[in-house]
Amino acid sequence: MLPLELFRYGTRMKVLTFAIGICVAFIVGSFAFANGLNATVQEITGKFEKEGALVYAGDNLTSSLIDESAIAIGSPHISVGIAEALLNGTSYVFFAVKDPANLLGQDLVPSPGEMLAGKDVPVRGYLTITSVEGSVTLFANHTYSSTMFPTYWHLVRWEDIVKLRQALSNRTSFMIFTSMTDSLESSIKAKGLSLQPMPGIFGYFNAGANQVTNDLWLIIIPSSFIVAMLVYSAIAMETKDRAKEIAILKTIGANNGQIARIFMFQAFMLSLLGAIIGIVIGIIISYAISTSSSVVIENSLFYLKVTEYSMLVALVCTILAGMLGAIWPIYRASHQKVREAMT
Amino acid sequence: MRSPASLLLRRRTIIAATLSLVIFTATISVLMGISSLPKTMLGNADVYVITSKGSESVLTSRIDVQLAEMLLENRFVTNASPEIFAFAEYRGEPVTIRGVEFGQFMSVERAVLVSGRLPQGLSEALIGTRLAKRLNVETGDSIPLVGSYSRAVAEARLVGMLETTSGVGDELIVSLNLSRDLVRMPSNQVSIVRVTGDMEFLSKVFAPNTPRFSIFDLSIPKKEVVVNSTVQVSLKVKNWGDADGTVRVLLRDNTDKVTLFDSNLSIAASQTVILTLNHTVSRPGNHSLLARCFGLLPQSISTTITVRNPYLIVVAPERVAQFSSFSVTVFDNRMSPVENASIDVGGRATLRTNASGQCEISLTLPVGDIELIAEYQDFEGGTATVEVVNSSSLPQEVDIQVYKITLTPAIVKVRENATVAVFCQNFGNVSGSRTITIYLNGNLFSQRSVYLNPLQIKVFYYNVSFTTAGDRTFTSDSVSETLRVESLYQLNPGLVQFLLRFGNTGSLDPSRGDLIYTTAKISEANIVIVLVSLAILSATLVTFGVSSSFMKEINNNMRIIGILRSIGASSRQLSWMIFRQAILLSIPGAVLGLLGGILLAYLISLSERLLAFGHVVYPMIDPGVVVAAAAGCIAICVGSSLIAGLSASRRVTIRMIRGTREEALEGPTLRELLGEE
Repeated sequence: MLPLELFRYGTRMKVLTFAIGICVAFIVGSFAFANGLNATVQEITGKFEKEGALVYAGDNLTSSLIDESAIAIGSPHISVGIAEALLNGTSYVFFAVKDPANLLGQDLVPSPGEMLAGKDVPVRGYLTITSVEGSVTLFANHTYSSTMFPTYWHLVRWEDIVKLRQALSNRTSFMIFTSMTDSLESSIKAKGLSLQPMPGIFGYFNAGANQVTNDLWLIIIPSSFIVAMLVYSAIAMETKDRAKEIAILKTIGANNGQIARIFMFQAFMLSLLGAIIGIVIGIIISYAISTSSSVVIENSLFYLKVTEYSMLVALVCTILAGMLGAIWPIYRASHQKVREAMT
Repeated sequence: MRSPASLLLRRRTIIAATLSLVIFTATISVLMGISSLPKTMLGNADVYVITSKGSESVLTSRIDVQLAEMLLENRFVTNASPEIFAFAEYRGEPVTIRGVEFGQFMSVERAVLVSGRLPQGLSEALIGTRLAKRLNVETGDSIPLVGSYSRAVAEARLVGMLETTSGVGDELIVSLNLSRDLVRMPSNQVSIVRVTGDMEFLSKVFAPNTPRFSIFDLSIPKKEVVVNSTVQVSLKVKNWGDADGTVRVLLRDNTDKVTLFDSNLSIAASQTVILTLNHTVSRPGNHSLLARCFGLLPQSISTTITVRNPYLIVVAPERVAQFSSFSVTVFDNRMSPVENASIDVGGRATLRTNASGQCEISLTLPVGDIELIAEYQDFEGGTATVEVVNSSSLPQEVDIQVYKITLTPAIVKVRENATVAVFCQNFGNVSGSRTITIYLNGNLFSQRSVYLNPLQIKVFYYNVSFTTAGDRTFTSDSVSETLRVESLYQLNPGLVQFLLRFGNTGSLDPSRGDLIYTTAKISEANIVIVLVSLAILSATLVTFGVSSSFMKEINNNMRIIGILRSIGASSRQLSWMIFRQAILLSIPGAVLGLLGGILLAYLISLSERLLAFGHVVYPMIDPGVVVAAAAGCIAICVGSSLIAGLSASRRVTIRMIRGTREEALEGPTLRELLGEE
């Protein structure tokens, strides 16, 4: 049967199919690279325990205010109030902590009338702290030690932070959760609050690997273009070679659509075959690279990963590109004049 | 009508090749951009990065922050910026945080502050313009941060924006304190130190895999020796590289012009060799001893030793009574009594000392000062002044006073012995006793009780040595003398100190660009393998793309080839024709393709949309690769046309033999269509 005689011109078609295969292998390989990076990142972040999250309203901690009674989140957490204020002419951040569930495992409440200075800014003596909203005089004689808060924030009692920032009398600046579940996370986000998972390396890696995945369009577009070009030249050669056959088909009554279908089917088969070959080559190459690099490079956690998704993308892109590439030569072939073709 | 030049290949054939080359050039430059991304993160080409030796990545690197301080003291370093990396996410974007000392950082980075000011407070930060754009923040905003590897919270207030040519434009620059809080790093450590300066020199210092040597601790046990005595000179040579090696070491007395040692020493990795040599000094004066090591890092240390002739010390009373005899003792410089030394008593008489170095003087001397001069062989003479008084003028009391302290020698090395002689005399006319107290640097050193007759003297001798360098002042009554104790080892020059302390702690790399990859335990080699594989695949498919379009074109013109063959064109003539046409076509095609590719890469660069781990990937154009790609493209065009043309010509000729007229008029496919084949 004529349409399925794919390899009538033997070597030429075989080479072209193989070429399309290489192109698809390129797409599959690039995806495998990005997927591998993602998988590696997941593996790395999997080594860190998720240790909770920082929850705040709006864009930053300084301006954030959360009405805890209104949002009604029952899970145990640490509530922190912060205020910016001047001390001896320098602006510092002062904070107070409410930790009813003792999640911090330490008492971060200074004695009445006292404050605890940050290790990096060990102020001493009776100090008057002034903010836009008010002032308070506190005695500083010690520093506090905590790995949770910056070493240049000063710790005060909640009633003193309220004097510096009245809104904190019934609100909280931000909350720290020491454990986080997916349902809790989504309920917090549903209340319009911002959430940053801790430690930060999770978010960094995930967002970073996503960027790499997003870069893949740069691979797919040129590869698809080349697939289109390959199919174009294949079909163009084919229609040229078969000009007389097409003319005869037309003489015996075939219409343009029928002619087009025959070659469209051929283009489809060519792309499909190429895609399948390409995916197989891609998987083999990816596997080979992964294996060889883990042999050559000790302790390599990196590998290439071919996923169903990437195979599907490669397949669809190739077939679409192939069909697109075939349109022009098929159009010309189906609209060619019988007389011209026969002479 | 076609021109003969494009008889077989139409001009438009090159479009496919040009487009393929555009894509190939852009793809390759993107791949190269990805592979060099980590380098751009670490700064410009002339910035070197010091990481701790053997650390897997910039992140596991831990460096003593003092390294940066010491580097700055050395003239071969212009700027040294200690830095700590932390990581966070904000508004869905990965944020790389770099803790720095702003002054040094700005100099190393050569960053330009495009708005705002430099941070002053510990919570203030700068942000790169590109990151600011992605996060949609500006000066005055605050960014909440969480600990990178553990629970912690902090907030950075943006006070300025900076622009750089390196990856720093994609980062948040905070104080060292803030970044330490985020990664829980001890206050004396940083992740890396980035340096600028004499890179040739620095790369020699920080290359752990090569043997490198330093000489140090040049020592002589004595500060002062007499002529012709032998001193033991010692020098340490250390190989602080990770490989065994040989170094030439020279030790020389520059005053005597004598080379004590000049030869190659083989020293195993991380080993120290102690060189000990005996040196006999002949000429008096200050001798300069110079130690020098050659090789990668030439260094020299020098020290001096004082050589003098042996000398005499005269021990005599400060004051003597007229008409009574007194005793004088002569010692040599080692405090041994000297026998048969001559003593000139004020030019009045010359007396000789006995076996115990003593000499009894019982001359009638006038009231006043008398100078005693002792001489013996080639020893330097010793002198003492004695005041002759009338005994009736002496006070009627016991008056025991320390009148002199001598230190022999006056300058010593650590652990070298010195003799402290404390002279006291009863200046009164009554016998009696007193406790003499000697202080060393204001602290009690010794207390001795002494009973003396009128004008009798007593000398207390102490042998002292000290284990640390510094001045030691001996005081008793109103007399004081200072003994200088010098370090046994010659002070190592700044460079040597630096090498000894940090020479084996860090490794320096201009392209230590593994931040992202090794973060994920992916070595750069992995990435290179992958990127090279992708590049090869890309090149292969460009080959197919280009060759298929050329083959198609030749195929289209098979009839012309057939005609040419039939009218007698030889294979050679045909090849030349195809070759010439392909070349003429492909050269402008390749040039256009390259220009297009470079333009495309530039557009990708401009868009700043190609991102990886919070950093913009800038496609890189390598002239070598570009030229190779163009040459390859031309070769593919020509090659594929030749192959197609020649194989086609063969086919056509065969058919021509079968039926020349029919073939020439109607082409070959009709026969196939009619099923005659």
